[in-house]
Amino acid sequence: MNINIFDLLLAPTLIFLAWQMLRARDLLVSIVLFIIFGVLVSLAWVQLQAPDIALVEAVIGSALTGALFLGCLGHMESHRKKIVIEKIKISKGSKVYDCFLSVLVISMGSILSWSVLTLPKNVLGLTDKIQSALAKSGVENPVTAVILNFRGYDTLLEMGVLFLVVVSVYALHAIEPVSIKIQPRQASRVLIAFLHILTPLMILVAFYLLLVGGHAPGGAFQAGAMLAGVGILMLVGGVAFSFNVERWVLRFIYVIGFGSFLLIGLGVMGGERNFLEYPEYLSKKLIFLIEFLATISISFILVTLFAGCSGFLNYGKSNSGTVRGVSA
Amino acid sequence: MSTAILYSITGIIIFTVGLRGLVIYTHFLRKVLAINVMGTGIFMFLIALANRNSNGMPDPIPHAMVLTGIVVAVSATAFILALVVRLHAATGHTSFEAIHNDDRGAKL
Amino acid sequence: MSVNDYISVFFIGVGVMFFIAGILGVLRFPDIYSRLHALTKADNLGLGFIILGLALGIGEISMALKLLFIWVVVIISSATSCYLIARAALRMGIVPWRKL
Repeated sequence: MNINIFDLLLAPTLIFLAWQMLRARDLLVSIVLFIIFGVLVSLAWVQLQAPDIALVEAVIGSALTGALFLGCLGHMESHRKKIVIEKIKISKGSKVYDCFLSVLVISMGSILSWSVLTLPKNVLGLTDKIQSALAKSGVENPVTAVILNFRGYDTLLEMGVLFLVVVSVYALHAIEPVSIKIQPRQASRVLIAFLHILTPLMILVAFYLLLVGGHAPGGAFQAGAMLAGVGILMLVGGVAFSFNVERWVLRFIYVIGFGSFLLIGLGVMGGERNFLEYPEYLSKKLIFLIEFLATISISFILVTLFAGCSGFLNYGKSNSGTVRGVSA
Repeated sequence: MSTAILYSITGIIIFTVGLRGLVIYTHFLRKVLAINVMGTGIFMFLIALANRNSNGMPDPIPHAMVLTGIVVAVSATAFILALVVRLHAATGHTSFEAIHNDDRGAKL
Repeated sequence: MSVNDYISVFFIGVGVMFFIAGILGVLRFPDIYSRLHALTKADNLGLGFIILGLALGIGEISMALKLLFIWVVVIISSATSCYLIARAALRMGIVPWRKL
């Protein structure tokens, strides 16, 4: 694979954006640059023949993470009583320290780069093995096969991480998983009309991504993040969208992705088969079932995480909020 | 020089930029941004190295690992941000140094 | 390259010109409202031309429809976000620029 002019332009742009993002004076500018950085990185994934990752990066790495940051910044600014001028750098302050650090970091980068240049040029890795085993996996997209079949335990633990994070966010706010506060603020009518058009489309696209995941780029995480995008837009727009379902329903939705994966993994055990080793004739159906339930779980969990960062979760009403006796 | 080498070195540089930012800047949000930048650098390194072979088929294992990594990164970011929001609500500060200075002031 | 390819490249080139005009507008216009105007209007048209060029270049009806779908969604969302940004700016008290 030869290098083209597009790569030569994209790579320095990425480095420049990363640099500018971190040193921008205004945090809002930093976050906007982070979102742009994410979009350009997903272009880099396309150049590196990784369309699956490009999708995930665009939806999760750029849009969703950006929304988390923006929500957090907005929430913190709205709670700030006096305007504190944020100093960009404090640290130890001295130029010597900064220079020393830069030298360390640059030398580390050089050593790593040198090690890349001395690597063998042409390595197949496990490509051939995966191609030969692909027929048995139940799906045609090699990345989906690795994620949900060959290395299913990775993804199982990943679902576990998501579940743990949502539990800890609730624990952090010291509330029961029932109360996401929907402020019926005066949402703009344009935004509401926009949501009326966009919501069905995004749900459609999400399920399309889920369905094509078997043979083309797409899958549970892309689809789940897409649905979460709908949820976040509704939350921000103040559209009548209620999390006030029965407590057990919400808990059930949070746990279903991880739980069903675990149960299916255990269920296929027995005889010769190990944990998560699906029988060949069932693998296609099982993978789809896992992906479907995971999509639902992921979307609700991601919306909750956004709510937790941006003040949509009720907290500070009862016993929390004055942890150190300092009024915020 | 091939695309794989170009992007793996780019990944390394992005990682080092993020690492420097993580150490130097004190505002929590900036630190979290720096951690995300470091993560992106590592992902780029992995994906670029997965692309080294000559038959045009990249290795799907690093791809799956990076996919998992991105989701775990967003979970961790969400958790840190929730912590930051709570810390800010409790202390009114957005950096460890400010909290630390506050503590010293209280002791004196 | 066939005639079709030349037409496709021509349309993509026209689209890129519109993007460049939009970016110039963002860089040179005096206030947020006129910048938004330059950005959304020029970019939507530019994207339309690029998508037209790509659809002609691919020449498959299903792909062309997908590209058209993308264009429609981008137009709707850019109109909405432009409106929301302008409204937020007005609420913050930013006065529209006038030539003195």
